[in-house]
Amino acid sequence: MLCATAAFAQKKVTISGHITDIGSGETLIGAGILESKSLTGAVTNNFGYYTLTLPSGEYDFQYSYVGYEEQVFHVSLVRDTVLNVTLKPGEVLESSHIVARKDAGIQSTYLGAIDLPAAQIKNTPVLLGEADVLKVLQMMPGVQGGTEGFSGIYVRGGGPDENLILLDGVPIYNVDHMLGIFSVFQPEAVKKVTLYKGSFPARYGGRVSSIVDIRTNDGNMKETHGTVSVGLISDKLHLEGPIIKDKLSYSVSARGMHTLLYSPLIKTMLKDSYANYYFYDLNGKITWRLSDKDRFYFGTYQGRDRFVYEENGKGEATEYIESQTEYVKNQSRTDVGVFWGNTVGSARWNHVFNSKLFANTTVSYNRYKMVMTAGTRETEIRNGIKSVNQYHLDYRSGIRDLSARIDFDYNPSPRHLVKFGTEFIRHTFIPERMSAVDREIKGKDIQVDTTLHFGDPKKIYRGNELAFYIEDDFNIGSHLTVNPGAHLSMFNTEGRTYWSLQPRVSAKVSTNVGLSFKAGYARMAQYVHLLSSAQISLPVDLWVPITKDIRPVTSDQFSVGAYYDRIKGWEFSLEGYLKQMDNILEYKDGTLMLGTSDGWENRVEMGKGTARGVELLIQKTTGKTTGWLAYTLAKSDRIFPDGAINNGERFPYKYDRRHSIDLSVDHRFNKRWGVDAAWSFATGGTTTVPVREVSVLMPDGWVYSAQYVNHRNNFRIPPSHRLNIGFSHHRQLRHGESILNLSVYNVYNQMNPNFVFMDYGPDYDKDGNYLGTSLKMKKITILPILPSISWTRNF
Amino acid sequence: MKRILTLTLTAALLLLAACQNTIRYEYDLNDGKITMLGKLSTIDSVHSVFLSMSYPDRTDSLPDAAVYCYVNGERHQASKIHPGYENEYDPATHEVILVPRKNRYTEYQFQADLKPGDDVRFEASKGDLKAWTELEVPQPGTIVSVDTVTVVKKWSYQAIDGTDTYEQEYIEFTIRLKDVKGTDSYFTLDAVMNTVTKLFSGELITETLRNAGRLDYETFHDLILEDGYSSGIGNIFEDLLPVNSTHCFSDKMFKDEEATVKLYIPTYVFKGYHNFYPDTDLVQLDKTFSLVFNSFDRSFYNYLRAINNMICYGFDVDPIVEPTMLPNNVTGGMGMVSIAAGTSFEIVLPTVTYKPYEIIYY
Repeated sequence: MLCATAAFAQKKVTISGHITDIGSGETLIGAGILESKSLTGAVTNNFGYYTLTLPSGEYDFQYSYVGYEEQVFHVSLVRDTVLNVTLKPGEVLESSHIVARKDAGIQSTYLGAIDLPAAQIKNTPVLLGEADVLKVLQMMPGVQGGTEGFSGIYVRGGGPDENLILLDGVPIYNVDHMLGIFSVFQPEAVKKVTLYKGSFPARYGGRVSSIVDIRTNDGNMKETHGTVSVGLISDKLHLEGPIIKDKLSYSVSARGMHTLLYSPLIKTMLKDSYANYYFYDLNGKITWRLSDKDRFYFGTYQGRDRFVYEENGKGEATEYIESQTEYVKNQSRTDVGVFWGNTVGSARWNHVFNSKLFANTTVSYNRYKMVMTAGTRETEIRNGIKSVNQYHLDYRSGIRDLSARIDFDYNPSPRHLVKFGTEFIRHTFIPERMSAVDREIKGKDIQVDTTLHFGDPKKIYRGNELAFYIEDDFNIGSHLTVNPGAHLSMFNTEGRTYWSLQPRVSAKVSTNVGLSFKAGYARMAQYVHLLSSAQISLPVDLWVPITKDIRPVTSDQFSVGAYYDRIKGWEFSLEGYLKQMDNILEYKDGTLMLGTSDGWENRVEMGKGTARGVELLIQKTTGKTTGWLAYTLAKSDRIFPDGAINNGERFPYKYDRRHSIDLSVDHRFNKRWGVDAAWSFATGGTTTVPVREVSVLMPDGWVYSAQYVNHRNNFRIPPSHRLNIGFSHHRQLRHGESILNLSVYNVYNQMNPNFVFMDYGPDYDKDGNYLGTSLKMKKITILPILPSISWTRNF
Repeated sequence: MKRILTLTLTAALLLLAACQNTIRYEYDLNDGKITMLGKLSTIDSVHSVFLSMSYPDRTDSLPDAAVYCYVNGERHQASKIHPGYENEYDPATHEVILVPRKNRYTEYQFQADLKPGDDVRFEASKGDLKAWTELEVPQPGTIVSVDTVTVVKKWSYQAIDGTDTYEQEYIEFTIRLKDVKGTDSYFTLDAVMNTVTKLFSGELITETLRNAGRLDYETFHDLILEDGYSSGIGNIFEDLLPVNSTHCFSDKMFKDEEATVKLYIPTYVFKGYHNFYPDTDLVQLDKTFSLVFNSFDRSFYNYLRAINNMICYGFDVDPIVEPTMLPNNVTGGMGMVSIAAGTSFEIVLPTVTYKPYEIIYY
C-alpha cells in the first residue's frame, strides 16, 4: 500500500489551459497560475496559454493578472487536466503575486525586459492627445528618442534601424507617421507591448539593439463593443465582437487624420490649387477558437501617409500670327503625390499537441512601399486642333518580406520550459526605381511617346534568412533560474552565405528577502540596414540588405542587474550593461546622405561601436497612483579604423546622451477623474559644427578657404526637458462610458532644440546698431506648448 | 526628382520653421593657428609651402613667418613669394590701379632636391606660434608603359527630361602601372599639359612657360582610377555622387603587382585654343603632355579624398552631407604637407605656329 502511495505521489500530471478576460474572452498574456503549497507557478504565453506539471494530488491554484481579481481553484489532479479560467477586472490596479516564468519584468529570467500593458500606454500623456506606443517606450530606461518630440527609438547606444518592431510577430519596417511625430501603432488595437534590450530570448533575432513585441487584441468573444474617439489631429474607431459567440470574433481599428475625412471638402474649396496631407491606419483581426486545442488568428494592418498637390490652369486667347487670327484655348494640370506605408497580413495557428507541447505556426507577408509621382498635362486647342503634352514621373522604393515560422513551447517538467522553433524569411528589396513617360499628341498624330527608365529598372536585392533557436528556462533549486539558449541564423544574398551562431544566456538568483540578481550575455546579428537621410524619418530612407562586401552587424552584450519587489505594489530595478557592436555602418565623411542606393556600399564604412550604461527603474504598479521613475546614465561611441570617418578616431555617437530622467505618474482620484503627468529630461545629443575656417590645398595647387570640423559630433546640443499633463473625465453612461481628455504638451513651453545648425547672423550693439555678421549656432523648436482635447466614447 | 524632393522637403521645412532661436556658442575670434600646406615632389627642385592663419571666422595671410625646411638635417630657408598684382578701384582717384593681390595665404619657396627615403622637416613660426611637420619621402611607383589610340566614345545619358546621346572623340591612354612593393601605397595619376608660348614680332619678344595644370579626364568605369567614386556616366542617380576629381587611388586592387588602367582625354584638348596677341606677327606653341604618377603617404590620400568631397558638395558644412574631417599632419598648427615621389611619362607634341591676326580655331 505504501509502495502504491509512493508510486501515485511520483506520477506527474499537467494542468493547462487558457486564461481570458471574463467580459470579453480576450486572452491574457503573462497571467499567472501559482500552486500555493509548493509555490510552483507558470505564466500564460503570448496566446494566453499556460501549462504546469506537478505530481498528482490535491492543489489550490491561484490565478491572477495585473488589474484583475484573483481567483483560487481547488483541483484534485489525478490526470492531465485542461482548466480554462476567466478573470474579472478589478476596480484599481492590483498586482499579480505569481512568481513564475514571466517573459518580461523583474520576475523573468531575462534582463532588460519590460512589459507595457495597453492601459499604461493609453494613460501616458503625449503630444496632441495621441497616445503613442513608441513615445511611451522612449520613457523607459535605456531607451531614448532621437530628435526631440519624434518617435524614433534608440536603445542602449544603438541606431534606429537596430530595433526589431513586431506587430503580432511580423516585422514592421516603417513605424512612423508625419516624419516621425507619431508612430503607426493604434493604442486601441494594442493589448501588450514587451521591450527586450538586454539578454534577448533566443527566439528573437535579426536586430542588434532591441526587440519590441507588440500584441494586438483578439476581439471580444462575448459581445460587441467599440470606441469612437475624436482628437485634435485624428479620429478613431474601434469595433470588436463575436461573429459566433465564444468561437469566432473580430477586432477592427481605424485611425485617420481629419484631413483625410475632409479631403473632398478641401478639394471643392481649393479648385485651382489643392494640397493635402494625411495618414491613416487600419488594423483588423479575426480569431477563431476551433477547439481547446486549435485556434486560428488572421491579422492585417495597413497604414499610409499621403501628400498630394494639384494645380489647374485655364486660359483663352486670340493671337494674330502672320495676319491670321488664331483662337487658342489652354488647359494645364500639375499633380504631385507622395505616399508611403506598410501592408501586413498574417495567419497564425495555435495547436496544443498535448498538455506539454504547444505550437504556434505563422505565415506572414509584409511590405513597405514608397511612391512619388509627378505629372503635367498641357492641352492646347488652336483653331480646333487639339495638342496634348503629357509628362509623368514615377519614383518608388520598398521592401517586401514573405515569412513562415513555427514556435514550440515544451514543458517536460515543472523545472523546465523549453522553447524552440525555426523561421524563414524571403526578403525582396527594391531600393529605387524611376521612370518617366513623355507623350506629345497633335490632333490624331502621336508625335512623341517615350518611356524612360533611370537606373536599372530590374534592380532588386534578394535575401533569404533562415533561423533556428532553442532555449530552456529551468529552475535549479528554488532560488536559481537559468536560461541558456542559442539562435542560429543564416543569410544568403548575392551568392554569399553568412552564418551566425548567437549564444544567449541569462541567470537569475532570488533571495528570501525580495532581492534578486540577474546576469546575462547575448549575441545578436543583423542583416538589413536603413540608409537614412536625416535626423527624422523620411519616406526616401531606404532599406538595403547586407551584401557580399558589407558584413552583418553583430553585437555582444553583457548585462547585470539587481531587483527588489518586497514592498507591495513597488518594483525596483538597477541594471548595468556593456555592449560591443561590430560592422556597424555610418556614412563616410563628405557623403551625400540623400536616399539613393546607387553605390551605397562605397558611401558607408564598417566600424565598431561601444555602449555602456546604468539604468534605474522604480515602478509603482498598483493602487490609485501608479507610474515610474527611470534614470539612465549612458555613454555610446563609434570608431571606424579605416580612416574614412573622423580620420579613424573614436567619436561620440549622434545620440550619445549622458543622462536621461523620465517620471510618469498616473493618479485616479475617483471613478470620474484622473490626472497623468510625465516629465522628461535628457542631455542633448551631439551634432557636428565647424569650429574654424582654414586654408585648403586643391589638387591644382590653388589655395581655398573652407569650414573646418575637428571631429564628428563635436558639439553637444543643449539638454531637453518638458512636462506633459493630461486630465481625464470619465462618465458612466447607460451603454458604456464617455471620456473627455484635456492634455497639455510641454506645459512650461520649454524651447527644446529639435534641430541645430550654424549660420551667419547679424550682430547688434546694445543700442540696436548693426555691427556686422558672425557665425551663430541656431536651434529650431517645433514643439512648444501644445494644448489638446479629445473625446472618446466607449460602448 | 529634384522637384518632388524639393516639395516634400519644403513641406517638412514649413513644419519645422515653427520657432528659431540662437544657442549660446562661444569662440575666441583671436584664437589663431598656423596653417601649413604644401605638395612637394621629387620631380621638382623648387617647392612651395603655403602658410596662413586660421581663426574661427576667417583665414588670413601670414607674410612675416620664419619658415625652414630640413632635408636629412640640412637646413633650407624658405623665402616669401610676391603674391602678384590685381586690379583695385581707387575711390580717391576714381581709377583702377594695380595693387598686390590680397591672398588669404602667403606662399614661401625653397630649393631642394628630394629623394625617396629622405627625412624632411618643415617648421614655421611667428611669435609664440610654431608649427612643424616631419615626413619621409616615399618610394615611387613606376609607369611601365603607355599606349595611345584615338577612339570615339558614344553613350546615352538618361536625364530627367529625356535621353541624350553623346559622342566624343578621345585619346585613350592605356597605362601599365607598377606598385611599390612591400607597403600600402597611395597614388595620383595626373595628366598635365605644359605649354611654352613664344611671341615673335620679327624676332622673339617673349617666351612664357604656362603650366596648364592638371587636365580632367574620363575613366569610363575604371575601378582602380575611380577608387570607389562614381564614374559620373549613366543616370541621374550617379549625378548625386562624386567623381574622383583629385585622381587619387590606393594600391588595394593591385598590391605589389602591375595593373593596367585606362583614361580618356578629349582630342580637342591636344589641339588647344589659340589666343590673339596684339603687336605680334607670329606665335609659336611648344606643348608637352605628361602623365605624372605620384606616390605619397596615407594621410595625404585621406586629405585628397576629403578635398574631393568638398569639391563635389561645397566647402561649408551642409545638412544633407556628412561633414568632412580634414586630416592634419602638422603639429602645433594645422594643415597638410605632403611629399610625392613622382615619375612621369612625357609626350612632346608637334610645335604649332600661327599668325595671331589669322586665328584658327580647331
